[in-house]
Amino acid sequence: MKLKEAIGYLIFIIILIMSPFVGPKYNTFLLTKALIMAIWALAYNILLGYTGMLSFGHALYFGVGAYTVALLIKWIGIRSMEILLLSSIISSAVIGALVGFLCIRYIAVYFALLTLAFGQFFFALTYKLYWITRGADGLPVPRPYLLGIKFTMMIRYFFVLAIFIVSTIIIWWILNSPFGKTLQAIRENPSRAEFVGVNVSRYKWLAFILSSIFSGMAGALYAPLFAHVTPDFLHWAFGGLVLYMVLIGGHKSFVGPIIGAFVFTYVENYVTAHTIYWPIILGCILIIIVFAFPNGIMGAVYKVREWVGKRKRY
Amino acid sequence: MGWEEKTILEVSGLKKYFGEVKAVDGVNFAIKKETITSIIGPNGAGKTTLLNLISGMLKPDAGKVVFMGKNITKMPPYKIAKLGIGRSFQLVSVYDGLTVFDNIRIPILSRMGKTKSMVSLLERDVKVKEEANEILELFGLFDKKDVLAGELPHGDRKLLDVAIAFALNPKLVLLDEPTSGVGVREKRHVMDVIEKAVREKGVTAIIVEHDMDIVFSYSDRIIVMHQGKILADGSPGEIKENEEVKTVILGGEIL
Repeated sequence: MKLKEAIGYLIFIIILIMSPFVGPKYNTFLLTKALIMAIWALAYNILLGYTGMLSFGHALYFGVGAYTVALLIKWIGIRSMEILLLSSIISSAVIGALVGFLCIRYIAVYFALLTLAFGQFFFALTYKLYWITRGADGLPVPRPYLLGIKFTMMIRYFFVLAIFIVSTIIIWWILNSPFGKTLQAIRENPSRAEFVGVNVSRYKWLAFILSSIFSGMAGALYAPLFAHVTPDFLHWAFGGLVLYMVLIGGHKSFVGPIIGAFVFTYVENYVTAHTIYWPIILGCILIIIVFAFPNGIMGAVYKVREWVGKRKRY
Repeated sequence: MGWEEKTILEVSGLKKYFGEVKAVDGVNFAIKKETITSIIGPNGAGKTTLLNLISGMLKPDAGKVVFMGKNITKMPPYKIAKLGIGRSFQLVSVYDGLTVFDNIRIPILSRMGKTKSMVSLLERDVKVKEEANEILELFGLFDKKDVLAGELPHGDRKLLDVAIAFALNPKLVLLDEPTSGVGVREKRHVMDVIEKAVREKGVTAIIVEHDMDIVFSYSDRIIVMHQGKILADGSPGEIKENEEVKTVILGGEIL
């Protein structure tokens, strides 16, 4: 079982390494996008799947990451990707710590609404501060450099892939540490956790900051991919997409968000190429998921596996 | 002076009103170390409220709770738990979506101060595993360690709730009806485990209980509550002979 899983991951990574050499250029672009979305979805699921917190303002941290890159390039002229990425980690951590501190004491729908409100506040700010952010026009993101080398499509792809692998390992590790188990206990029964000595607010806050940091990293990688940032990156509807990806993939499984991000990116690309009714299809998929597969693709996979296992026994 | 050292918990002038209802209305008592004290009384006497006040779930309107010389009256629950007061709940409170094993690992991690650790992997922590297994053996839940807590039968969930309290290695446990809904044979077992912990590990227990058989055979001391006040306080023998207690409580509502 363990070995099977390891082989599965290995094959997945080999396919990711090989595909830019065999597939068309556009596929490399799509894969880069999917990997970035996967980092974001994993970050989001630290809160939703593991701590049981539903955030509606997660575009904020993604947007902060993206804007940190764009603003630093525009106003300070920093073009080195490693410094840009580090700065995004810091800025999203700071904003996440601030907003998180104000939100985590509230639960369920109040928490969701507060995160939404803060997200929209920063969206409006980005929109209105024209002299800094160029408002709705957004900011161009000229090509940065990685360790002095031009951030070409290939280098960008492998950089994103490396960040994706490292982030996945770090997040997996954290979620399987005593801290991660404590988050799950909080998800299941915050009051019981409090009565065995867990300072629930503190842990929720830490989870929130962690989630913000990885979301910010995803945003920082996304900015050079699109070569342009707009306030839409901070809009709650954009943040809704990450929730969507996590639900498609399955929030109760660790790999669910990764699968959701890939499926979403490719389905979106395919559907928007053929019809303008993408939002309708998006809605229909969501309805099917909620009614038929409440635990997403991974939930369905586990069910099938269980069913096959039972049949084998008889 | 010797008396002071033997006291683990001191409650004085404790009051909690819910609007017109005087749930706890000026309660005073001191609990000696390594004893089992039962709190009995009719429904609505304020027993659960009293436990909630001690464990920090509710803040009193007046009065003081002192635990091992420390004023804990206004402390949040997690700090009180860290000081060594574990509790279980009248309505089972466990982690339904986690396995029985994980349910026990959480309080052990908390007690060891490991819950903050992000760099180690939980599965590799042999010490936590061993201690969890020990507690599970003690409560007869070892065979069910991989079952989700939400899928256990009621009696086992109740046991698990109590086991979580004991996994904290507390100096004082507050048990709110630990044997309600537990099978007759298991009732004795639960109480034996609690008694063993009290006698061997130096735990002190305060138990709210409705089963008078259990109360009279395991308690060192019984506090009888009625309408938020203490009606009687003494050894099981004394309480049995108390005429007032007989009419108010033992007479009708409970037995």
